[in-house]
Amino acid sequence: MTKKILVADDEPSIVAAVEYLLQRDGYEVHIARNGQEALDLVESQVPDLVLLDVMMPLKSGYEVCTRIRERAEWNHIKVIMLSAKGRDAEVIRGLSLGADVYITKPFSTRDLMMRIKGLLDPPTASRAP
Amino acid sequence: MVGWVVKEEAVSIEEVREILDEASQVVVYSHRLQQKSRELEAATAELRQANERLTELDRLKDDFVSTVTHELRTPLTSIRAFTEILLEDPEVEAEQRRKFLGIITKEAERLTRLINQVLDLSKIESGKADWVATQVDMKEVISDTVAAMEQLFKEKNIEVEARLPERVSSVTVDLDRMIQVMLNLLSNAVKFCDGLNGRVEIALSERDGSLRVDVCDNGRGIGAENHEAIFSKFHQVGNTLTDKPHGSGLGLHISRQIVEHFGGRMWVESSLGSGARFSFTLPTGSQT
Repeated sequence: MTKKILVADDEPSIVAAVEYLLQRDGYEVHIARNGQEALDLVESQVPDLVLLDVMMPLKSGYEVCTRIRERAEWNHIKVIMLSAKGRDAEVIRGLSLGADVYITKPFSTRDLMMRIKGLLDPPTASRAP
Repeated sequence: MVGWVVKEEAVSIEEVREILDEASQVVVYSHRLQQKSRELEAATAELRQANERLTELDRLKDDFVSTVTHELRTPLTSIRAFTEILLEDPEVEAEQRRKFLGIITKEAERLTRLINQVLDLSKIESGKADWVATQVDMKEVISDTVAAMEQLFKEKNIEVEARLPERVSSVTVDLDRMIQVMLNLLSNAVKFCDGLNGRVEIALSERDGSLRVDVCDNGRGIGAENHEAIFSKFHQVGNTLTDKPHGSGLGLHISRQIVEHFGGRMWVESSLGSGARFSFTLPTGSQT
Protein backbone atom coordinates (compact mmCIF):
# COMPACT_ATOMS: atom_id res chain seq x y z
CA MET A 1 0.00 0.00 0.00
CA THR A 2 1.24 3.48 -0.84
CA LYS A 3 2.46 5.27 2.27
CA LYS A 4 1.21 8.78 2.94
CA ILE A 5 3.64 11.52 3.93
CA LEU A 6 2.76 15.02 5.08
CA VAL A 7 5.38 17.69 4.39
CA ALA A 8 4.95 20.76 6.61
CA ASP A 9 7.29 23.62 5.75
CA ASP A 10 6.81 27.30 4.86
CA GLU A 11 9.79 27.43 2.47
CA PRO A 12 8.38 26.79 -1.02
CA SER A 13 11.77 25.72 -2.49
CA ILE A 14 12.42 23.16 0.24
CA VAL A 15 8.88 21.82 -0.13
CA ALA A 16 9.42 21.51 -3.90
CA ALA A 17 12.63 19.49 -3.41
CA VAL A 18 11.23 17.15 -0.76
CA GLU A 19 7.97 16.69 -2.70
CA TYR A 20 9.91 15.70 -5.81
CA LEU A 21 12.06 13.17 -3.89
CA LEU A 22 9.10 11.58 -2.13
CA GLN A 23 6.98 11.29 -5.27
CA ARG A 24 9.96 9.85 -7.13
CA ASP A 25 10.17 7.10 -4.52
CA GLY A 26 6.46 6.36 -4.79
CA TYR A 27 5.00 8.04 -1.71
CA GLU A 28 1.68 9.91 -1.61
CA VAL A 29 2.54 13.49 -0.64
CA HIS A 30 0.45 16.15 1.11
CA ILE A 31 1.73 19.68 1.71
CA ALA A 32 1.10 22.07 4.60
CA ARG A 33 2.47 25.65 4.53
CA ASN A 34 2.03 26.36 8.24
CA GLY A 35 1.49 24.62 11.57
CA GLN A 36 -2.28 24.94 11.57
CA GLU A 37 -2.60 23.49 8.08
CA ALA A 38 -0.32 20.66 9.17
CA LEU A 39 -2.65 19.73 12.05
CA ASP A 40 -5.71 19.96 9.81
CA LEU A 41 -4.09 17.60 7.31
CA VAL A 42 -3.01 15.17 10.02
CA GLU A 43 -6.65 15.08 11.10
CA SER A 44 -8.10 14.61 7.59
CA GLN A 45 -5.38 12.44 6.01
CA VAL A 46 -3.84 10.59 8.98
CA PRO A 47 -0.45 10.25 7.23
CA ASP A 48 2.06 7.49 8.02
CA LEU A 49 4.82 10.03 8.47
CA VAL A 50 5.11 13.80 8.98
CA LEU A 51 8.15 15.81 7.89
CA LEU A 52 7.93 18.77 10.22
CA ASP A 53 9.76 22.09 9.96
CA VAL A 54 10.26 23.72 13.38
CA MET A 55 9.90 27.44 12.54
CA MET A 56 6.51 27.72 10.84
CA PRO A 57 3.86 30.43 10.93
CA LEU A 58 0.76 30.08 13.14
CA LYS A 59 1.96 26.96 14.99
CA SER A 60 5.55 25.82 15.43
CA GLY A 61 6.70 22.32 14.59
CA TYR A 62 7.19 21.70 18.33
CA GLU A 63 3.54 22.50 18.92
CA VAL A 64 2.34 20.34 16.04
CA CYS A 65 4.46 17.43 17.32
CA THR A 66 3.04 17.80 20.82
CA ARG A 67 -0.54 17.79 19.46
CA ILE A 68 0.15 14.68 17.39
CA ARG A 69 1.59 12.83 20.38
CA GLU A 70 -1.41 13.76 22.56
CA ARG A 71 -3.78 11.58 20.54
CA ALA A 72 -3.51 7.81 21.06
CA GLU A 73 -4.94 7.04 17.60
CA TRP A 74 -2.05 9.01 16.07
CA ASN A 75 0.53 7.03 17.99
CA HIS A 76 1.68 5.16 14.88
CA ILE A 77 2.44 8.39 12.96
CA LYS A 78 6.20 8.80 12.57
CA VAL A 79 7.54 12.31 12.98
CA ILE A 80 10.77 13.61 11.45
CA MET A 81 11.71 17.14 12.48
CA LEU A 82 13.58 19.07 9.83
CA SER A 83 15.07 22.24 11.14
CA ALA A 84 17.61 24.91 10.38
CA LYS A 85 17.89 25.31 14.15
CA GLY A 86 20.57 22.78 14.89
CA ARG A 87 21.74 23.48 18.42
CA ASP A 88 21.82 20.55 20.85
CA ALA A 89 19.12 22.09 23.02
CA GLU A 90 16.75 22.29 20.05
CA VAL A 91 17.46 18.72 18.95
CA ILE A 92 16.84 17.47 22.48
CA ARG A 93 13.63 19.48 22.71
CA GLY A 94 12.33 18.03 19.43
CA LEU A 95 13.13 14.47 20.45
CA SER A 96 11.69 14.92 23.95
CA LEU A 97 8.39 16.09 22.42
CA GLY A 98 8.12 12.76 20.66
CA ALA A 99 9.81 13.23 17.28
CA ASP A 100 11.35 9.99 16.01
CA VAL A 101 14.22 11.68 14.20
CA TYR A 102 15.64 15.22 14.16
CA ILE A 103 17.46 16.25 10.97
CA THR A 104 19.35 19.51 10.65
CA LYS A 105 19.08 21.59 7.46
CA PRO A 106 20.84 21.45 5.08
CA PHE A 107 20.59 17.67 4.89
CA SER A 108 21.79 14.97 2.53
CA THR A 109 18.81 13.96 0.40
CA ARG A 110 20.01 10.35 0.35
CA ASP A 111 20.21 10.31 4.16
CA LEU A 112 16.73 11.81 4.44
CA MET A 113 15.20 9.23 2.10
CA MET A 114 16.95 6.38 3.94
CA ARG A 115 15.66 7.63 7.30
CA ILE A 116 12.13 7.81 5.91
CA LYS A 117 12.37 4.33 4.45
CA GLY A 118 13.82 3.04 7.72
CA LEU A 119 10.89 4.43 9.73
CA LEU A 120 8.18 3.27 7.32
CA ASP A 121 9.57 -0.16 6.43
CA PRO A 122 11.59 -1.26 9.45
CA PRO A 123 14.12 -3.98 8.69
CA THR A 124 12.49 -7.40 8.92
CA ALA A 125 15.53 -9.16 10.43
CA SER A 126 13.66 -9.98 13.66
CA ARG A 127 11.16 -12.12 11.77
CA ALA A 128 11.64 -15.89 12.14
CA PRO A 129 13.58 -17.45 9.25
CA MET B 1 41.55 56.89 76.71
CA VAL B 2 37.82 57.11 77.42
CA GLY B 3 38.02 54.06 79.73
CA TRP B 4 40.90 55.62 81.60
CA VAL B 5 38.99 58.88 82.08
CA VAL B 6 36.00 57.16 83.65
CA LYS B 7 38.15 55.69 86.44
CA GLU B 8 39.66 59.06 87.41
CA GLU B 9 37.85 61.55 89.53
CA ALA B 10 39.23 64.83 88.36
CA VAL B 11 39.65 65.65 84.70
CA SER B 12 41.65 68.64 83.63
CA ILE B 13 40.55 71.03 80.90
CA GLU B 14 43.45 69.78 78.80
CA GLU B 15 42.23 66.23 79.09
CA VAL B 16 38.65 67.18 78.23
CA ARG B 17 39.93 68.98 75.16
CA GLU B 18 41.93 65.89 74.21
CA ILE B 19 38.89 63.70 74.66
CA LEU B 20 36.74 66.04 72.57
CA ASP B 21 39.40 66.13 69.91
CA GLU B 22 39.53 62.40 69.77
CA ALA B 23 35.75 62.11 69.75
CA SER B 24 35.49 64.56 66.86
CA GLN B 25 38.18 62.57 65.03
CA VAL B 26 36.10 59.45 65.50
CA VAL B 27 33.06 61.28 64.16
CA VAL B 28 35.06 62.42 61.12
CA TYR B 29 36.33 58.87 60.53
CA SER B 30 32.88 57.47 60.93
CA HIS B 31 31.53 60.03 58.39
CA ARG B 32 34.32 59.13 56.00
CA LEU B 33 33.56 55.45 56.44
CA GLN B 34 29.90 56.07 55.81
CA GLN B 35 30.81 58.06 52.71
CA LYS B 36 33.11 55.25 51.49
CA SER B 37 30.45 52.68 52.17
CA ARG B 38 27.89 54.72 50.16
CA GLU B 39 30.40 55.05 47.33
CA LEU B 40 31.01 51.32 47.39
CA GLU B 41 27.29 50.61 47.32
CA ALA B 42 26.86 52.94 44.35
CA ALA B 43 29.79 51.33 42.54
CA THR B 44 28.38 47.87 43.22
CA ALA B 45 24.98 48.92 41.87
CA GLU B 46 26.66 50.37 38.78
CA LEU B 47 28.62 47.17 38.27
CA ARG B 48 25.47 45.11 38.67
CA GLN B 49 23.71 47.26 36.05
CA ALA B 50 26.67 47.00 33.69
CA ASN B 51 26.65 43.25 34.17
CA GLU B 52 22.93 43.07 33.40
CA ARG B 53 23.46 45.17 30.26
CA LEU B 54 26.27 42.85 29.15
CA THR B 55 24.14 39.77 29.77
CA GLU B 56 21.33 41.34 27.72
CA LEU B 57 23.77 42.26 24.91
CA ASP B 58 25.15 38.73 24.98
CA ARG B 59 21.62 37.34 24.67
CA LEU B 60 20.86 39.69 21.75
CA LYS B 61 24.08 38.62 20.06
CA ASP B 62 23.18 34.94 20.56
CA ASP B 63 19.70 35.56 19.12
CA PHE B 64 21.23 37.37 16.16
CA VAL B 65 23.74 34.59 15.47
CA SER B 66 21.02 31.97 15.80
CA THR B 67 18.71 33.85 13.40
CA VAL B 68 21.49 34.47 10.88
CA THR B 69 22.42 30.80 11.02
CA HIS B 70 18.80 29.81 10.39
CA GLU B 71 18.50 32.27 7.51
CA LEU B 72 21.75 31.01 5.95
CA ARG B 73 20.88 27.34 6.29
CA THR B 74 17.46 27.69 4.70
CA PRO B 75 18.50 28.65 1.12
CA LEU B 76 21.48 26.30 1.41
CA THR B 77 19.05 23.45 2.07
CA SER B 78 17.23 23.95 -1.26
CA ILE B 79 20.51 24.46 -3.12
CA ARG B 80 21.96 21.23 -1.77
CA ALA B 81 18.77 19.19 -2.25
CA PHE B 82 18.23 20.23 -5.89
CA THR B 83 21.92 19.85 -6.72
CA GLU B 84 21.89 16.30 -5.36
CA ILE B 85 18.68 15.50 -7.23
CA LEU B 86 20.19 16.69 -10.52
CA LEU B 87 23.53 15.02 -9.81
CA GLU B 88 22.10 11.62 -8.95
CA ASP B 89 19.37 11.46 -11.54
CA PRO B 90 20.45 12.33 -15.09
CA GLU B 91 17.00 11.34 -16.30
CA VAL B 92 15.22 14.41 -14.87
CA GLU B 93 13.22 15.79 -17.78
CA ALA B 94 14.34 19.01 -19.42
CA GLU B 95 11.55 21.27 -18.18
CA GLN B 96 11.91 20.10 -14.61
CA ARG B 97 15.68 20.38 -14.83
CA ARG B 98 15.32 24.00 -15.90
CA LYS B 99 12.93 24.69 -13.04
CA PHE B 100 15.29 23.13 -10.48
CA LEU B 101 18.28 25.04 -11.81
CA GLY B 102 16.19 28.21 -11.63
CA ILE B 103 15.46 27.55 -7.94
CA ILE B 104 19.15 26.85 -7.25
CA THR B 105 20.13 30.16 -8.87
CA LYS B 106 17.44 32.11 -7.01
CA GLU B 107 18.36 30.61 -3.66
CA ALA B 108 22.08 31.22 -4.30
CA GLU B 109 21.24 34.88 -4.98
CA ARG B 110 19.22 35.01 -1.76
CA LEU B 111 22.16 33.58 0.17
CA THR B 112 24.57 36.10 -1.38
CA ARG B 113 22.23 39.00 -0.60
CA LEU B 114 21.92 37.88 2.98
CA ILE B 115 25.67 37.47 3.46
CA ASN B 116 26.28 40.94 1.99
CA GLN B 117 23.64 42.53 4.19
CA VAL B 118 24.88 40.87 7.36
CA LEU B 119 28.42 42.06 6.59
CA ASP B 120 27.11 45.52 5.74
CA LEU B 121 25.15 45.72 8.97
CA SER B 122 28.05 44.56 11.10
CA LYS B 123 30.23 47.24 9.49
CA ILE B 124 27.65 49.95 10.19
CA GLU B 125 27.07 48.80 13.77
CA SER B 126 30.75 48.52 14.64
CA GLY B 127 31.35 52.00 13.21
CA LYS B 128 33.65 50.62 10.52
CA ALA B 129 31.51 51.57 7.54
CA ASP B 130 33.07 54.00 5.09
CA TRP B 131 30.76 56.95 4.67
CA VAL B 132 31.60 59.14 1.70
CA ALA B 133 29.59 62.28 2.22
CA THR B 134 29.13 64.54 -0.79
CA GLN B 135 26.56 67.07 -1.95
CA VAL B 136 23.75 64.94 -3.32
CA ASP B 137 20.68 65.96 -5.30
CA MET B 138 17.90 63.68 -4.07
CA LYS B 139 15.91 64.41 -7.25
CA GLU B 140 18.57 62.57 -9.19
CA VAL B 141 18.76 59.70 -6.70
CA ILE B 142 15.01 59.21 -7.01
CA SER B 143 14.84 59.40 -10.80
CA ASP B 144 17.87 57.12 -11.19
CA THR B 145 16.58 54.45 -8.82
CA VAL B 146 13.07 54.56 -10.30
CA ALA B 147 14.63 54.14 -13.75
CA ALA B 148 16.73 51.22 -12.52
CA MET B 149 13.62 49.47 -11.23
CA GLU B 150 11.48 50.26 -14.26
CA GLN B 151 11.77 46.79 -15.76
CA LEU B 152 10.64 45.14 -12.52
CA PHE B 153 7.69 47.53 -12.19
CA LYS B 154 6.66 46.68 -15.74
CA GLU B 155 6.98 42.93 -15.17
CA LYS B 156 4.79 43.14 -12.09
CA ASN B 157 2.36 45.45 -13.83
CA ILE B 158 2.85 48.20 -11.27
CA GLU B 159 2.23 51.85 -12.16
CA VAL B 160 4.90 54.25 -10.90
CA GLU B 161 4.78 58.00 -10.52
CA ALA B 162 7.50 60.22 -9.10
CA ARG B 163 6.37 63.72 -8.13
CA LEU B 164 9.50 65.83 -7.94
CA PRO B 165 9.67 69.59 -7.39
CA GLU B 166 11.53 71.93 -9.82
CA ARG B 167 14.52 72.11 -7.55
CA VAL B 168 15.46 71.21 -3.98
CA SER B 169 18.48 71.96 -1.81
CA SER B 170 21.21 69.36 -1.92
CA VAL B 171 21.94 67.20 1.11
CA THR B 172 25.32 66.08 2.43
CA VAL B 173 25.05 62.31 2.36
CA ASP B 174 26.69 59.18 0.96
CA LEU B 175 25.33 58.83 -2.57
CA ASP B 176 25.65 55.03 -2.76
CA ARG B 177 23.97 54.65 0.62
CA MET B 178 21.06 56.85 -0.47
CA ILE B 179 20.64 54.76 -3.61
CA GLN B 180 20.64 51.69 -1.34
CA VAL B 181 17.86 53.23 0.81
CA MET B 182 15.72 54.16 -2.22
CA LEU B 183 16.15 50.73 -3.84
CA ASN B 184 15.17 49.08 -0.57
CA LEU B 185 11.99 51.16 -0.23
CA LEU B 186 11.05 50.70 -3.89
CA SER B 187 11.60 46.94 -3.86
CA ASN B 188 9.57 46.64 -0.64
CA ALA B 189 6.76 48.56 -2.36
CA VAL B 190 6.93 46.14 -5.30
CA LYS B 191 6.78 43.14 -2.93
CA PHE B 192 3.76 44.53 -1.16
CA CYS B 193 1.66 45.31 -4.20
CA ASP B 194 2.66 42.27 -6.20
CA GLY B 195 -0.39 40.96 -8.07
CA LEU B 196 -2.71 43.65 -6.76
CA ASN B 197 -2.96 46.20 -9.62
CA GLY B 198 -0.16 47.94 -7.89
CA ARG B 199 0.55 51.64 -7.84
CA VAL B 200 3.63 53.27 -6.32
CA GLU B 201 4.04 57.02 -5.82
CA ILE B 202 7.24 58.73 -4.84
CA ALA B 203 7.18 62.31 -3.59
CA LEU B 204 9.99 64.68 -2.69
CA SER B 205 9.46 67.89 -0.76
CA GLU B 206 11.44 70.45 1.21
CA ARG B 207 10.40 72.20 4.38
CA ASP B 208 12.01 73.79 7.45
CA GLY B 209 15.56 72.84 6.58
CA SER B 210 14.90 69.26 5.64
CA LEU B 211 14.03 67.15 2.63
CA ARG B 212 11.32 64.58 2.87
CA VAL B 213 10.91 61.53 0.65
CA ASP B 214 7.66 59.54 0.65
CA VAL B 215 7.23 56.17 -1.03
CA CYS B 216 3.55 55.17 -1.10
CA ASP B 217 2.12 51.91 -2.33
CA ASN B 218 -1.43 50.60 -2.51
CA GLY B 219 -0.40 47.12 -1.39
CA ARG B 220 -1.39 44.88 1.49
CA GLY B 221 -0.36 47.38 4.17
CA ILE B 222 1.12 46.80 7.61
CA GLY B 223 -0.81 46.65 10.89
CA ALA B 224 0.02 49.25 13.55
CA GLU B 225 1.47 46.55 15.82
CA ASN B 226 4.26 46.04 13.28
CA HIS B 227 5.13 49.67 12.51
CA GLU B 228 8.21 49.69 14.72
CA ALA B 229 9.02 45.99 14.52
CA ILE B 230 9.62 46.06 10.75
CA PHE B 231 12.62 48.31 11.37
CA SER B 232 14.20 45.75 13.67
CA LYS B 233 16.51 43.00 12.46
CA PHE B 234 14.93 40.01 10.72
CA HIS B 235 11.38 41.12 11.28
CA GLN B 236 9.38 40.44 8.17
CA VAL B 237 5.71 40.86 7.58
CA GLY B 238 3.92 39.09 4.84
CA ASN B 239 0.94 36.96 4.12
CA THR B 240 1.89 34.21 6.54
CA LEU B 241 -0.92 31.92 5.40
CA THR B 242 0.25 31.59 1.85
CA ASP B 243 3.70 32.78 1.10
CA LYS B 244 6.81 33.99 2.81
CA PRO B 245 8.16 37.38 1.89
CA HIS B 246 11.49 36.94 0.17
CA GLY B 247 14.25 39.09 1.50
CA SER B 248 16.73 39.04 4.28
CA GLY B 249 14.70 40.96 6.83
CA LEU B 250 17.57 43.42 7.20
CA GLY B 251 16.77 45.99 4.49
CA LEU B 252 14.65 48.43 6.49
CA HIS B 253 16.85 48.09 9.56
CA ILE B 254 19.90 49.07 7.51
CA SER B 255 18.01 51.85 5.66
CA ARG B 256 16.92 53.47 8.90
CA GLN B 257 20.48 53.31 10.26
CA ILE B 258 21.76 55.03 7.11
CA VAL B 259 19.16 57.82 7.28
CA GLU B 260 19.82 58.33 11.00
CA HIS B 261 23.56 58.45 10.38
CA PHE B 262 22.94 61.60 8.31
CA GLY B 263 20.66 63.15 10.93
CA GLY B 264 17.36 62.13 9.39
CA ARG B 265 14.39 60.02 10.48
CA MET B 266 12.53 57.14 8.85
CA TRP B 267 9.04 55.88 9.67
CA VAL B 268 5.97 54.21 8.20
CA GLU B 269 2.28 55.08 8.13
CA SER B 270 0.00 52.25 7.15
CA SER B 271 -2.91 50.05 8.09
CA LEU B 272 -3.68 46.51 6.99
CA GLY B 273 -5.28 46.35 3.58
CA SER B 274 -4.80 49.98 2.63
CA GLY B 275 -1.23 50.42 1.45
CA ALA B 276 1.78 51.89 3.15
CA ARG B 277 3.66 55.18 3.13
CA PHE B 278 7.35 54.96 4.01
CA SER B 279 8.91 58.36 4.67
CA PHE B 280 12.31 59.66 5.56
CA THR B 281 13.83 63.07 6.11
CA LEU B 282 17.32 64.44 5.62
CA PRO B 283 18.56 67.79 6.92
CA THR B 284 19.61 70.20 4.17
CA GLY B 285 21.73 72.31 6.46
CA SER B 286 20.00 75.48 5.24
CA GLN B 287 16.87 76.89 6.84
CA THR B 288 14.35 77.74 4.15
